[in-house]
Amino acid sequence: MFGWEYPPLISGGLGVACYGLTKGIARQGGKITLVLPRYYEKSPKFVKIVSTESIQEKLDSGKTLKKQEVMPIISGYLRPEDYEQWYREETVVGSKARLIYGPDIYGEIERFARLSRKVAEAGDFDIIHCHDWITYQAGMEAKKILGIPLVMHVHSIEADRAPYPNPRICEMEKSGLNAADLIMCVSRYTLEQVKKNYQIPESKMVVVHNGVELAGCAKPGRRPARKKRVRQILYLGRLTWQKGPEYLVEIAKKMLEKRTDLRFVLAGWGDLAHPIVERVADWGVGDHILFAGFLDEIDVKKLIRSSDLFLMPSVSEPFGLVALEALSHGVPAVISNQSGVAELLDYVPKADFWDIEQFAQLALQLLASPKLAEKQLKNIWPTLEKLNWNDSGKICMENYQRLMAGTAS
Amino acid sequence: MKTVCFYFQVHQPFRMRNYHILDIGKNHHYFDDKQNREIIRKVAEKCYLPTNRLIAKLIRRHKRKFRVSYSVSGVALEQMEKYAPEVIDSFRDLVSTGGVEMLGETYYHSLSAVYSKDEFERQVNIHREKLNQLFGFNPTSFRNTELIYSDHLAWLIQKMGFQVVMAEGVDWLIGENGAGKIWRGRGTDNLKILLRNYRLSDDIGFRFSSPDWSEHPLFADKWASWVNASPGPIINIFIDYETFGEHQWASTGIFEFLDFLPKALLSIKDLEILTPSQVAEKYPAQDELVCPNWISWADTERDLSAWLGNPMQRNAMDKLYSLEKDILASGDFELICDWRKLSTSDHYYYMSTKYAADAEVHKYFNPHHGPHFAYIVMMRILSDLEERLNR
Repeated sequence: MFGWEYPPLISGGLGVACYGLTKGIARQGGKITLVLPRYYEKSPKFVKIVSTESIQEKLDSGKTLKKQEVMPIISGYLRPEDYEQWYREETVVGSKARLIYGPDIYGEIERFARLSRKVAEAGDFDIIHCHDWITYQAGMEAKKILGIPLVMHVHSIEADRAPYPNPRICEMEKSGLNAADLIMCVSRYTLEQVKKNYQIPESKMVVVHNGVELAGCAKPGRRPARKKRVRQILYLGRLTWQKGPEYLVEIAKKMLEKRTDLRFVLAGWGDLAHPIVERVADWGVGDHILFAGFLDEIDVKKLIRSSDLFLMPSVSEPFGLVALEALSHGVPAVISNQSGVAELLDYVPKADFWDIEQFAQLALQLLASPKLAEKQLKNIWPTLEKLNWNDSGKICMENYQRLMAGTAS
Repeated sequence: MKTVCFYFQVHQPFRMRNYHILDIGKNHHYFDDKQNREIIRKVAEKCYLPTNRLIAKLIRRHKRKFRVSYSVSGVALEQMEKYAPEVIDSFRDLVSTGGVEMLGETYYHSLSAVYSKDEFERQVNIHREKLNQLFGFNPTSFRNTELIYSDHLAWLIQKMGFQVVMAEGVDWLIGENGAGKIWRGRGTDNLKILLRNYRLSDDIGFRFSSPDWSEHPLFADKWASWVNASPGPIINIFIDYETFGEHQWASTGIFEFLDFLPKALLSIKDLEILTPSQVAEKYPAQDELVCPNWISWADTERDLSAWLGNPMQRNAMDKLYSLEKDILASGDFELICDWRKLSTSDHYYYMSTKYAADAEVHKYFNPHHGPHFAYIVMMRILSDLEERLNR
């Protein structure tokens, strides 16, 4: 299996999903070797983690640099242009970045693929499973060597992530998806996107929904009435076009016109952070719309638990794991129709991401009526229980077996 | 006859810590004690202690013909008491030479003059009490935060009994040689205004150690000859005190420059060095300064744009002062002190998004990761402050 990030070093849902899937597949008896660009922790029991960086180090006969000091992770969401800017800045300040990293992200991807070959050559494998475009090349290289079925897992495509898709990335996605024997999409929504953007026949695709961890979450009963002066409304995600933070602040402004006892918290950071912060300041509502910056997992959980409402106005959300997390912690939600989880959550109010009026109205209704919120959470619970990584792992295994039988025959 | 008047600004803010979103409602500690202590200790070692020692020596050496004035903000004094009490002692020693005048200002080095007349008066009075308590000094000259001035300020401080006020010598208000004159505040009986000669001041404050400058290296007698050639009768040299040893490191020769400066100046015939109140006593006002808009010594604009130039700065400052009434009414001493510490101008300066030459200065002084970060942290803190208020 080829991945790009893995807990605890994660920059978004990709790392969380990889963790859940590997755990789920392992529970079904699958043995996984996960190849990552870099990993500094001890592997969990259920998966063997190999980092291409350590392979490189062995090739360089033990020359080591303290890489964590430079950049512990290249986010799978980093835009190629941002990468180049980061690289230039690091070079200017004289950091050791240029000794470790190439001047563009494609070089990183190529190196990952090249070093991944070493893993493929050394092992005995039945299936290759890749997560998103950054690892597709590695998967294709491995297939050349091993000649076994290739599974491409789509957590998002370029058209989800950017308003003006990068043609080079699209090209890499296209060739990867064409080379795949099977494509796993995180939602029906994503499957349709892949079909539309890359003209892939549906017969080559399956939907494997993400799961949600319910450990530590209690089945919703009566929520104790919280005596708070302000109600806290949460947005959780990178501040980037795909996640719709611009719509979120418009919705917030609309809601603040109706009631002022609201505090919106935007957790996350990204390329739109500065313009959005400035807009909020310009409207003079910076005391009602706060920015938490990038938070670690523990703080995210705490923030979710202290919130009264969760909003996800994503412009294009292949799945939307954070919505499930919020709901599982007893926080009611309003989500956009343009999301994968929308197809699973019948009882959650939904609106189109551009429909600020509708979003605001649904959110205000939920805030005004604790009963309504309670009902939503109660109705949603069986769905949450069904969405677990074990089942996702089971679907993966079934498809693996089908593919292996196919190659054998 | 030429009169030279020195005033040094001494100020250190209570810098904010990276106040976390989850701290709201739980942790009311807003300031980075460790960083603040380290900075005070560092600047004390590099600037305050050696420079105070040298200036006291020079005043005594020249039998009080060399005199200077200081504007030390209350928040700077408070941190010195806490982290470097020997600096307070050395200021006491300076005051005891009889050649030093202490100036009044807002205790919190704030923009209260712009936002709230009442709060301004309160902060000036708190500062006056502090000078009395520490040095037994009752100020009659006034220097507002970062030389922020307008007709409105003149009227405010005359009411409070001050005789003279410092301001920036802004070319477009006073004409080319206007800084050499004594001015009267518009609409005041006889409030005198001393205007900064920014060319001669910046020679020391900014250009002194710049190797690209054609006059580098600068020696005391050369600079003194420029002072002598400058149209008078008054030459006001107002600079950051941290110039000595901190902005200009000891290795640049700044202390040697200072050591020779009084001698170089006093050897010029018909030249004297006076403090602001002595200047005001000696000279009548020559002209009335018309200044309806706010000016300051900051950036090339010489206005309030360093603190209120973008929406983030205005939003944060508006929010701060919108809480004034309720904060004061709470009677909660700690809450009021925290609120006032947040009124210090530096917090808003950090939020500036100006570019080009000015951005470099902003960047140098900025303890956060950029203006947006400074703003969002401030808004988290103000949210907590408001929550405390409503508890």
